[in-house]
Amino acid sequence: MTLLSTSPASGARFRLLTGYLILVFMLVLTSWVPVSRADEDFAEYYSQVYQIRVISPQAGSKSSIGSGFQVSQDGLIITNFHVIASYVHAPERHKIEYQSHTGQKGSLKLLDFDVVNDLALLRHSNPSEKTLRLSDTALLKGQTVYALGNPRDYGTSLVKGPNNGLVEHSYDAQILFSASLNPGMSGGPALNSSGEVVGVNVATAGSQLSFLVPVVKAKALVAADREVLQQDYQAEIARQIKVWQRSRVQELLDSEWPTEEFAGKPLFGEIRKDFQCWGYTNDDEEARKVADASKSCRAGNTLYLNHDLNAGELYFSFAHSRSLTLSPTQFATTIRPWMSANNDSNFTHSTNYQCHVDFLQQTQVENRFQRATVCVRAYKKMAGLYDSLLLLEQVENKQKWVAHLSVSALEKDQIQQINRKFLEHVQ
Amino acid sequence: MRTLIVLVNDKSGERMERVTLKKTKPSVIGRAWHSDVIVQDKFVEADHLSIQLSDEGLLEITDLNSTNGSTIAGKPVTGSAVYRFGEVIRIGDTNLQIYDAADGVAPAAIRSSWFLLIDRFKSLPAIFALTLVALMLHLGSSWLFANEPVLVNDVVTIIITALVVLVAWTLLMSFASKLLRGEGNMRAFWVLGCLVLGLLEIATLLLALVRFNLQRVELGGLLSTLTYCAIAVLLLVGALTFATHMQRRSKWVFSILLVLTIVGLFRSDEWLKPEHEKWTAQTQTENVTLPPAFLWRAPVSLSKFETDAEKIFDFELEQN
Repeated sequence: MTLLSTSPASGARFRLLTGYLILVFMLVLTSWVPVSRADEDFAEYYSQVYQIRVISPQAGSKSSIGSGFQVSQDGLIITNFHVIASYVHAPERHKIEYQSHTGQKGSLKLLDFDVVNDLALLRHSNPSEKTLRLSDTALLKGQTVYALGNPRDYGTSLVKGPNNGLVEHSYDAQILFSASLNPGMSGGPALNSSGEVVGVNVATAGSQLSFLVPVVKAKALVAADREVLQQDYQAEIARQIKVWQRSRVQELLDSEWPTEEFAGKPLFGEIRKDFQCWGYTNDDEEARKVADASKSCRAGNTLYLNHDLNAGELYFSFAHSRSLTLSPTQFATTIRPWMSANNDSNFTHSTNYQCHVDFLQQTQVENRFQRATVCVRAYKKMAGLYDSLLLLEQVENKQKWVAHLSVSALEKDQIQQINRKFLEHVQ
Repeated sequence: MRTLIVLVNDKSGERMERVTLKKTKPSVIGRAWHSDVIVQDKFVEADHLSIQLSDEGLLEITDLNSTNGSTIAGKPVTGSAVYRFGEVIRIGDTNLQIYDAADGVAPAAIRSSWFLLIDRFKSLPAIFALTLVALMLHLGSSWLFANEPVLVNDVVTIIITALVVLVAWTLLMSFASKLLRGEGNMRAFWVLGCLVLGLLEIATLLLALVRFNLQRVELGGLLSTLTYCAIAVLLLVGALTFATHMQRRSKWVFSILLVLTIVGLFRSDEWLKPEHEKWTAQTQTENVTLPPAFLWRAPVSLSKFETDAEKIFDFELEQN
């Protein structure tokens, strides 16, 4: 999923998708004609979309752009959190500015944000008379949605497409919107046919696959009516993550994990609707030394915190290998128990991993060992949150099972609990 | 009457001559057949030097008007000069040293244990057996830790490679030894090579066992480094013993310093890196894995594992 703000760093991160995006862009140009009919009806709304820019005064230029819209007479503006993320992480080195439809520029003040739903609330220094209304009526599947925004700084554009309901495989509600949202349209309003805001543009996953944040989340942010102080930004992000993870992971701890067989063992797979699993074998490889099968499952939601930091991954995988031609010692040398983080981070945000390794007792099986490795790293600026990696290797002379769990941005007690539940299930 | 020993070092090599000084006439050193000490050197006169005891009992050396002259301890001799035992006399391309036969010689040097060790492998069968054992150990270790099946052609390659390395080592070191010590010691270097190869393979196996059972990557890494350094020091001291005349202590000091320098240079990058370059998204745990039969430490219960793992949550974070 690609977030829709434009910044050089995120551009590099999603390099895989760039070729794709150019293709998508061409599609937008060819499908322009049918959209133009709506132009007349929606002409008045064009002027209500602001371009939101994060400026780094040192470089004297914008470092990321997105879109936003005003929702109250006193100048409250909504955009995505990821549009202004670089400001939140270094407020002393950035400013937020808007550019209106007429080219008028001014500064914006960050009031509040919601990292889980990727929303931010800003205040306009020079509010406009006209505001967009946040819709109270539920959006029905199949209803047409009109999304506005400024793709790639080319100018405010309207994109029309059907609402396809909520995204499956997502823990938090997101609307699946079949139209082409492009970088720069992030934070722009998505309107229903009566011109009320039903969602906020947030991300794309390629051709005609776009996502909107449901408007209720924006309403909640406006209703909270808070102002987060600059020095509390990091603590506030940490607090929101903790609240989100508390219930998201607790549910997993409390629920039954339906048994799914993997390589002759009763394991599990899509343990909740937001998990998706993929499988792999090397059956097709000629002259293979080891027969491998693996399965990996991942929860659909992660949090974008900055261009070099995301968090909230829940991921687990199982692998089974059987030696075809290798002797026991040779097979053992193929076992390299290192793990790597599943979320992006770096020296600024995270410590190195600290690990504990030991061999676990087991019942019955002779000639087999169980090695467990557990590693955590701390978030430097968000006290009490950790990324954790867990590995259980069950090794016999000619075969091994490996179970791996990777969770990101959790508190200590939840890491310990989910690690225990995972170990109990895979032993 | 006094007997002197003259140590002659000319192009034919080093030799010693006994000269008995007569009161009546001086002894002569030169190229002539009638000389008391005959020197083979075309830059030396037929009668070059004369040696005589003065009335005071001092040894007096006289240059007999030679074309190329003579020096004693670097100083040219004009006419006669008093000689002190042990000083180097140079005539032409030849060095001479004169000692008093009445002085005793130093006791015989004790042959170092390195030579005694090598002497255990004097006969051809012994050398052959040692080579075979070393090659078998190497082959065994290569087979154990291979990452793909070892076939007959691989076995041949492994053995040939090891032999080529041994031969190259022996020839190279013999050459150096001939230059530095004056003797080739080829057998010594071959035996030393085989011994160290065997030691290396045994150490590798033991280290794998210890590291697998220890599961502490820093400690395991340190153990490996120390072991391999110790083997390198042994190899170096052995090589210096056979190739030079260095003193026992200086051999050890030199070898240890050399190994420490090399390890230091290779590790310095890791030590001197700033903190942010040491950051990695990967975990660092012991990589060595062996089959279940080699696990000798007692496994723990899940709850013990969890209690022990508590400590990984302690981070030293800068408070800001």
